[in-house]
Amino acid sequence: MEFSLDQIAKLAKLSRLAMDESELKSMQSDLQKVVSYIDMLAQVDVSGIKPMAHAMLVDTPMRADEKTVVAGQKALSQSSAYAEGFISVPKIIE
Amino acid sequence: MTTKDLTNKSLAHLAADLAKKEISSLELTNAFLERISAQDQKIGAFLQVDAEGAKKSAQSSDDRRAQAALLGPLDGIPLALKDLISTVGIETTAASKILSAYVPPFDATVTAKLKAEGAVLIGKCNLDEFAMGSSTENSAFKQCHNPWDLSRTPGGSSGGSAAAVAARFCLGALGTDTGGSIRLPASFCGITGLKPTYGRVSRYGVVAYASSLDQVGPMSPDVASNALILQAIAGHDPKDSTSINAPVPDYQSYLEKGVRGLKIGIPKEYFADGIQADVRAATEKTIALLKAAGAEIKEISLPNTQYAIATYYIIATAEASSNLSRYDGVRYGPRLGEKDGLANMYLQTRGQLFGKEVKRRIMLGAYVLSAGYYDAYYIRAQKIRRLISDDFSNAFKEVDVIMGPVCPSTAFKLGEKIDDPLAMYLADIFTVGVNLAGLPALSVPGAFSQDKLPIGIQLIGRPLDEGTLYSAARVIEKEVNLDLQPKF
Repeated sequence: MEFSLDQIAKLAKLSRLAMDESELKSMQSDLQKVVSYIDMLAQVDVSGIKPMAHAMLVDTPMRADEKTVVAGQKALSQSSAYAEGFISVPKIIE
Repeated sequence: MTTKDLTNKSLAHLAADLAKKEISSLELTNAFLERISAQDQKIGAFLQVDAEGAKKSAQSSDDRRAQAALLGPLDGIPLALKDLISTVGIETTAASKILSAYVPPFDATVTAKLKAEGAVLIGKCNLDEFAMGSSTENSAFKQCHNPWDLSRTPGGSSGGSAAAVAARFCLGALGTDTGGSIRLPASFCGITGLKPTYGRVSRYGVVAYASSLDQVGPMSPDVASNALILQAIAGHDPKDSTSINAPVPDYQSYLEKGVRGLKIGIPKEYFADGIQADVRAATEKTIALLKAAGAEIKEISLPNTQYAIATYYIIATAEASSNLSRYDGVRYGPRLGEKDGLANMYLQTRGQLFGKEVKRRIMLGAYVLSAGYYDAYYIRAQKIRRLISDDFSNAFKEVDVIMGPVCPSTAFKLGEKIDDPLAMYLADIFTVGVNLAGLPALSVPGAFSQDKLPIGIQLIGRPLDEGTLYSAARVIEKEVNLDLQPKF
């Protein structure tokens, strides 16, 4: 697998990471090396093997449908743009 | 008693002194605070020291002691927390600029549990940013040095916690382990570190890196104090749906059980080429001492060992790319690029405030999950995860404990591997399989290398069998009887 600079730029955009040209080039080189290494997994025979997402079998635990108190304003007020009970962000609809 | 007298003693010794009222928790806490103040500039173990809070806790502990109303064996004992663990009112940064000045409005469950035991929480320890790294060199805020050799790394990602314990800045600390991040720094710093069974300890309030792999665990100067700390933090938590609902045994009762009749498996794949000569020698000596103590030694095979790192770096980065998408400048942390619109705010905040390694892993994770590559990488890795886990289950049909080195080498020099991510990743070869399989594993100091660096021995157990690991670790500890106080 050979990464083009365009592919790296696309991945960066999908990951929402702004990167200048030199960072993109450095990332291209690093990811190239790592992906070449992880490509060794292609040689493993995985026929009939089920994927394992978790170390332990978990059924989603249930709880009673009762109101619980959450941090509310304390949590919201962590934002750098908290005002009057809301968090503001740049306009997204023109 | 001088500061030096107090900070040199073991937890057991100090607990006895506290009980006899020969010292107070306040005196003890002040002794550690003074030592940190005088010496941590050489080490860089702490990102935050909460002197006021610690003194208040210590005073409360002394008041309880005066009323004979102690909360437990950790009451009044100074401990530290990796700065990945939420502490209400105290900055929790994950050693990242993207969380600088973030103050959690809540305590992690493990924080709350230690507080409920009356422990004195002295500060937050340095780490690799978002727990991504094996040397603590990825901390956005400060360098951390190995107390045994200041030109070397303490290991990572819980390097600050390990260094703080080794340097006697506290009597124990919590770290987290996703691919070896407790065991590796424990090995490099000559302390005892345990990664519990996945689900044994709550992850609520712990900044997530890879949710199916992360575990919080104790790091301590000796095996007995490790067991004490695990006792305090283990247990089911309804706030963590991945926590196990199973009783917590009395870990102290395992300490003197010995290893007579215990079957110990030595994976032949852990002794391939590339292991430093004195690490190999230390491991062989430990095998011999366990045999002399009555253990039965068996060679076993974990045939999929060679695929563990690749498997780990696909699964962990995939999970991380999802977990770290919450850092966007909206709800917490600084924001950049706001005036150029929302998309730009995300791009700039994340692009400028995440460190290089974090960005590498996010992008690798995004890649292995992307359309067209998902089956070839992520799903395939999950299948190989099952093979790796099955290797361990099969081995545990024949043996009770699996042992080997923690790392093929002793602590490497600062700067040695930082420009070669792959070389850094390969340090985890013996540790990552354990996280993939969800097993408990412990690192206990086994010997010193020729150049006086600690070498950790890894003991891996069946799920929920931390007790047996303590039994074996205690035999090793007593037999090797190492002087584990570095001079720096």
